[in-house]
Amino acid sequence: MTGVAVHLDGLRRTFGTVHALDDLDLSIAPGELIALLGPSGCGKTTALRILAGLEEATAGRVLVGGKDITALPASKRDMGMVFQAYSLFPHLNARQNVEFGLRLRKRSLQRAVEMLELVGLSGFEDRYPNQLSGGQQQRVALARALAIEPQVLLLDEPLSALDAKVRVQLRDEIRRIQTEVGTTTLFVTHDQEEALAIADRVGVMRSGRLEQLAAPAEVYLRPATPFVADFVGISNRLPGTVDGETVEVLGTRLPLVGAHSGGPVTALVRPEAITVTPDADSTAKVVTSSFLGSLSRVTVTVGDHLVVAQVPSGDLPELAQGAPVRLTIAPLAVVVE
Amino acid sequence: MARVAFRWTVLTVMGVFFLLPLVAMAEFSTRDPETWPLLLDWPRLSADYPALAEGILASLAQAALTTVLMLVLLVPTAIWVRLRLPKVRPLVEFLCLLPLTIPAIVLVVGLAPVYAWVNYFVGGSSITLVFAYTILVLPYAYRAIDTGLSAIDVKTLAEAARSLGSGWFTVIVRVVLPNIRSAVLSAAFLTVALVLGEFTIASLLHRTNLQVAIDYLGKSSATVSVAVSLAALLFAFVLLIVLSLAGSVSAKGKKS
Amino acid sequence: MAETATTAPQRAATRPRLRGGALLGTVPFFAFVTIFLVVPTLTVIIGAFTGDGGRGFTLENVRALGDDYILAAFGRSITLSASSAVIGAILGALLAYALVTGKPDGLLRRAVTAAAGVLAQFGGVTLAFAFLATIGLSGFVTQWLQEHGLDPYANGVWLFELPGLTLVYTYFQIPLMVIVFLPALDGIRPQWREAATSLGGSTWHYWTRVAGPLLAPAFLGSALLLFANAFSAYATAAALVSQGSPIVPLQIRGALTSEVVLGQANLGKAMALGMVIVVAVVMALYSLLQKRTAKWLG
Repeated sequence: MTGVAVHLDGLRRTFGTVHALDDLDLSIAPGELIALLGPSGCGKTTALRILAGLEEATAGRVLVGGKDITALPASKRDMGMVFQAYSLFPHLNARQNVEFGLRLRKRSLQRAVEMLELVGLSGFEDRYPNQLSGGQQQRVALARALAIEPQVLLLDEPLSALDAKVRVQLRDEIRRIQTEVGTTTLFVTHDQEEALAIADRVGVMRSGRLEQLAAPAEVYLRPATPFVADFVGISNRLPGTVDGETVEVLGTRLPLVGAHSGGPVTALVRPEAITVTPDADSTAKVVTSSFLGSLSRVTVTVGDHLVVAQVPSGDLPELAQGAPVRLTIAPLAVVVE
Repeated sequence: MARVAFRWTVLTVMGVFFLLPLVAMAEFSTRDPETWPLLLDWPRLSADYPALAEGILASLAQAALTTVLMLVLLVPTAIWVRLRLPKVRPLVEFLCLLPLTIPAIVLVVGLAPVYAWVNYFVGGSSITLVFAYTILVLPYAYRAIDTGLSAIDVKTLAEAARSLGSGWFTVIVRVVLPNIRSAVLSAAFLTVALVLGEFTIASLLHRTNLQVAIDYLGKSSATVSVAVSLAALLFAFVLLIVLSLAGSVSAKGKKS
Repeated sequence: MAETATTAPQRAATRPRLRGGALLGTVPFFAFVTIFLVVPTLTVIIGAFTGDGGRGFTLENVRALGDDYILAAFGRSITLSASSAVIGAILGALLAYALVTGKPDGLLRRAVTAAAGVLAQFGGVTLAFAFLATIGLSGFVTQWLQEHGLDPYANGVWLFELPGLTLVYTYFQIPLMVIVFLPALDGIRPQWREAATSLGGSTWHYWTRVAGPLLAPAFLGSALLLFANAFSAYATAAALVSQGSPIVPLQIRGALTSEVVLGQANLGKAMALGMVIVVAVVMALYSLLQKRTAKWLG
């Protein structure tokens, strides 16, 4: 089965004077998985619920496979939906939950068993929701959503109620299954790591608008706005001076994302773009260092500023507290504000 | 829109059904304009209707003493059982909830011989009903207090206090009790409301209280007894609304 | 599969040792409850199987429960309790549903639940007088109807009989239903309706396949509680009915107050035992259904 294209066209949703969605345009290619990422209240869930038909847009259109379904009730939309938690019907066992949509469509119930197999729950068919772990419940919910062969799969923070370890495991599995069935998918999350790991493209939202829509690496390496740079990954906020198409930060000239009129700015620099080497002549000193596995993190004072850098853990012995160091910034494009 | 229409239809019909008897009582009790002034004039009331005055006083005393006895018996036991005797807890719970399956009229049948002894030892005063009433309120009071205790981690609190050097008495009185204040308050209010409405046991054990007096008065002066009924009901309303407000205030306090 | 269903939190291995000293703290409670609850309960049970005057074991009293007039009283009690429970359960459930469709923390909801708390406990003599003032022979509504050419008692005064008692009992049954059924309604998660909708279900499908089956145990259990509540009620009927003893509690009153009649005292205990058994069975079913509800909607 191949997916269909989805277009959200100028979606607006207002509650009183608050714009939950402010003219949102979003196109999802057939079979693509797009993650909408943003802090709570940014409108990502509202967008998903309008696509599902569970909420009405104040203005704008929803097109699925070229058809305008803005006025179609949720029950006629053929959208498979997975909620954050507790969406399984507690009086039905796993199989009966998956069969729910099939029965309404008078389709073969055999598919329920196949779907549970697909999500790795063979043998759990007769368990009731309260006999399943949180991760297993979400697998059943995924099987239930996919059983009806939906046009679009909608995942509303499906992993945020789970333990960290289960979350990573199920995230990868959702990606595997989605690739296998090829359903066009919208995934909403506030967890940047999750969004970057799972999506074909990530849409970062803020106040009802898309700040950036791009491939995960692009969003991380070339954040379009300071908000994106701040929200995705961590950034050092360092003083700089814009000169033409470059910005000078701590004595290094770096390419600039977008255009800026010039003058003093704050540049957002990733910790991994900064290299730390011992240098007895430098005035910069290590304040703290924390061991994080194969990579570690050191904090350095430069003048009045604290700079966080990522270093190979092997370098740590040379970077003890108080050690004088020199900072080098890799010439990657940075965003300024 | 259909849902809104349904909602308001239900609420209106129910509102009328439940308000009508209250309005009717107000109307009925004001047919004689002398009735309400009389109720507010205690010396005249006790002169004209001595049985009613006696019943009111008896009920107030019963309510106060039942509350005290209930608290003294139940609160330390509930805390103690949670802290030290978890194995005994199911038995305490069973006994406390048992009166739910024993209708008051049945309890009277069994209490009659016990009260023959009570009469023998302490006399036949209406105050002795406090013993029976404490049993009657046990399920409600126990549930209120148990809910309060479930909401806090009694064991950890007690361990913390004991590690700081307090004895068991201090643990119960100074540490646990202040944390279940609203539960205790709610148990006390429920007790008062239940005792003020009790008729079965008092009537059949030949003792008096407010309800017995109202019933007796109804045969001779319906207007006064309806007025007293309404007053008693309004009093219960005020009591339980204060209770529900106290509950919501403490719930808010916990949230922050 | 690395995931496992959540297990109960590990209990600390060391439990406080049972010491005689600890048990001492519960002596006042157990002593009191023994005298005023356990002894009366045993008195009823033993008395039901004891001959009058004598001490011997007998089934006479229990056999006497089969007498026509006692069976009829139990029949009427059960009819009254069942009809007031059914009416109260349906109307109370409607009212509770009307409440949950509004704001969860709204003033209306808080006011109605507080009022329900009072009215559910509102029984006894006060309630009887409230209805006498309303639809008694010279009641407010009766007079109003008569002024408009309608006589509710044209075919006889029904207020002091079963239909009247049913109406009066409804007044505390509906609020009780609101109190016990509201938590179940609150347990219904909005996700279930949305999941059912997104899977292609209509409102009808949602109610018949999701909400209906989920609420059924709670509804049935609440109705049973209402039944037990009406079955145990005495005061309202005692104040309303002055002639005859149509229902079991009033029969027991008769047996208690006319102890001069030989063979009545322990018959009262047998009837009391009969009541306890009915209430106990009903309450056992109730707690069974309540457990199911807690599992689904807790």
